[in-house]
Amino acid sequence: MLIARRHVRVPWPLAVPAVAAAVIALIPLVYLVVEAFSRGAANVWDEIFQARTWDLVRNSFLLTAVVTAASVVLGTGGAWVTTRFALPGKTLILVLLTLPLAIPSYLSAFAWISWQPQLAGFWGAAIVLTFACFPYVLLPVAAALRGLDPAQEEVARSLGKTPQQIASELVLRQVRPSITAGALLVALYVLSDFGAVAAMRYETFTWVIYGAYRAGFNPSRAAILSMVLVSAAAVLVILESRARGRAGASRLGSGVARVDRRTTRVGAKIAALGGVAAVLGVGLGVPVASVISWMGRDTQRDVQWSEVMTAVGDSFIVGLLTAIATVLIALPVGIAAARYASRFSSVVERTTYVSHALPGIVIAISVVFVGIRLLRPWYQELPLLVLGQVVIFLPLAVAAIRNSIEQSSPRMEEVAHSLGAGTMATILRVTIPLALPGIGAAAAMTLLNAMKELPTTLLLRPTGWETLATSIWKYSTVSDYAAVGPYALALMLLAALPTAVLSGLTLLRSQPRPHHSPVTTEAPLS
Amino acid sequence: MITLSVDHVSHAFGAHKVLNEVSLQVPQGCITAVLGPSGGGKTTLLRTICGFETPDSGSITISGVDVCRDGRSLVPAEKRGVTIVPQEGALFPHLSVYDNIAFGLKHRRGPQVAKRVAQLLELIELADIADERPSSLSGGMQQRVALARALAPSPALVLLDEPFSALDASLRQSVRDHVVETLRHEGATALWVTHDQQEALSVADQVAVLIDGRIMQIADPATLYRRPASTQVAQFVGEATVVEATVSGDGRTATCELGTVELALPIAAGPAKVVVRPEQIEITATDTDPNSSSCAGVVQTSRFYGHDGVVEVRLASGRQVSVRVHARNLPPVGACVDVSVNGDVIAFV
Repeated sequence: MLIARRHVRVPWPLAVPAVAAAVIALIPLVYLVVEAFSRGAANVWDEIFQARTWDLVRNSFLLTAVVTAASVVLGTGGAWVTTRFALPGKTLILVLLTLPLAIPSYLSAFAWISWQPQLAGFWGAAIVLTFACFPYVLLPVAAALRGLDPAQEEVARSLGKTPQQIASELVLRQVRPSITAGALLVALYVLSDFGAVAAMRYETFTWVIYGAYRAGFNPSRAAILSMVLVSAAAVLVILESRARGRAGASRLGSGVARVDRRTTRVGAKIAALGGVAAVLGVGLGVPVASVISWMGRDTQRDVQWSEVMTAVGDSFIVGLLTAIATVLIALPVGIAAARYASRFSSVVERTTYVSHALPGIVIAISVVFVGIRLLRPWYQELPLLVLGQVVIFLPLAVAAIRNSIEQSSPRMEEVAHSLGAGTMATILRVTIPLALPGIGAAAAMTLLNAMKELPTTLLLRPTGWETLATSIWKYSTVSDYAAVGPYALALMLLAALPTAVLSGLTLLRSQPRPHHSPVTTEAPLS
Repeated sequence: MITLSVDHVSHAFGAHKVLNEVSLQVPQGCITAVLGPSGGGKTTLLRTICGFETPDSGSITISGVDVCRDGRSLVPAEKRGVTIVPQEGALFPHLSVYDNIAFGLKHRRGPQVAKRVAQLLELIELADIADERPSSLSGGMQQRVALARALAPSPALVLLDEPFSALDASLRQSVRDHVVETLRHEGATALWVTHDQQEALSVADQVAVLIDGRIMQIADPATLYRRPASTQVAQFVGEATVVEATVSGDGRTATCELGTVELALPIAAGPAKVVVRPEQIEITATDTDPNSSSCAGVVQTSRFYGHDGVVEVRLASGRQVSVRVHARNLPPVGACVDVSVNGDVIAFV
């Protein structure tokens, strides 16, 4: 059956807020262009064609390539072992392996530095970012592997293929889109990461941009460097969409896939468990052990628990407000993209993805810029901080909401129309309730990431506000690790539970999806 | 009174013409089946009537109101008073059975609503599952709830889109009978889309045959089966053998390789084609040597169905015909049989 989509018009109660969301998402780009050219076009070329700029390009590229490659190996290997080996507690191991997502990169960077100071520089940054990022590959690949029908492999065996041939020709080929999508997330994360490279003192774009803005008071240079960075991110996004290819994992025909009953040799099991233990040791063990050792370092000083609790409260308020605002702003865009496919809705949707390629630090600077000019009364007040966070997390929320709406059949909405429900009534009574689990997951993900977020919070927080992230940053940069301890512990505990729940949900929903949207449900952060 | 009137409706997806000058009228209280092969435009016709799709040309009138005309939709789907029972039921998974049925009612709570929902639950014989979630129901139950949901607002017209294709054969018959009974009890006007000719013939007051986007014939089931408008319709609605024949001078009989047959409707003398149903052909076993030239037909295959069987017979000309026979009389493969035609047949020039 063919369904034509020619006369689709997005109804105005959706179109108006969707356009507003797109305008918000465009703030950073507009700022970058205005600021970069504020000293004339000649200055732009001068800034770009400096030897130092090329050093930054080389440094950023090297770090991105190494971390992405290492994450693909670790993530795919981890997914393979935990889905295809007969290990005890496979799902628990998988969820444990995603827990490094709960530790912000700046925190684990300080943890490593305080333990092995000589690691500062490229290798320190590479280790920290690899162990912070490999879950971005692990999760989608594990979900894809679990979605494959074991009957396919049995058929291949019956046709005379060896297990090695099946792994490379059948299984890896089908999960390749998930691997490239995960690799893109890792690469974008590394390009835009500020905390880890700053803590490790490895000069990449983000650190220098922050320096040019904060210390050098040279916003124009910051903007020009940001534009180079954005271009690099755009190239990555285009490369990934080319490499993704059309074929995804899909189960044709009806019926439930049978339960996989694989056996694994004891030696392989021990090797797999050893590997998992090593990864967990490096990714979780080192940061957690460091934080605990910090706590015991200075017994002379009393821990100011009331300050810690205030920071917890501030972090939670910022996170909660951000989550609510982001989901409300993302909803009309997600619904329009999923249900009213037209040129208008696709332009609006893609516009909201723009900030996905922008580092938090650039977004923060652009919101400061707009705040000073247009929203003066809000400058260094809570609304502006929330606005900055919304711009960062909008792509994540739009993609998650769009995906969850696409999972439900449009037939439901047609039935609602035929029963007399109008456009908005149908959205409120059918579309949103059906997508509620996905919308809730989007909100939880935003809350979690907003609590960890550092650069925007540093620049936009109201005077006197200290969140967990800024407190960790404040004390770590002066190497007062004893003071960092309680904040770091609180942040890890707060973030661990939602991370585990969200990873579990992703794996539970690992049935084949209708199709991949431009951005996967997790996005690079902090 | 005419509830639905489809007038010269055409619709294309790109270069592919899905509906071609379709006209159709559904009187009030009548169950009309739209019968056609998959890809014949049935679902598109339904979607244009619902308002999910606006046809390129032609008009659709529901209860005297034009809902679309010449490529423009005049009444949106939610105001047409046309409800639908989709293929998979499409019950709202987040609502209970009760709330699903109450969805289309003006008020969602109150004694009026409770009464109407209770009445429908009674009608579909599922009174005790009002609080269940759709996911806990069997496929047949889900379809019945979907029907109750569609009937609840007393719509002008109910559309059923291959409502039982997802059910297995053993269940289909009983759910189908139940649904027809429910529709009759409510006095509903229904348009029922199906590719199953048995279903169409057994449930409908009138059947419209839709092939390649065109209505080939609209008639009551008996007429459609006995007096098909073309050899194509004859072959689509039930099994049929089409053989060349020569019509006699008075136009009332024809001679063909099955012998001399009576024509139901006289046509001009000369060459023609006659349509013979398998149950009209009679075979009798003979002792003639199957290889001799005097043998009328040789049994090629013989399929046993329990109460009856179907035998493929190769005639002297080499043509093969299907014959439905009582199970008792199944001849062995390779036997020689005499062939004759029982009752009158339709001939086409």
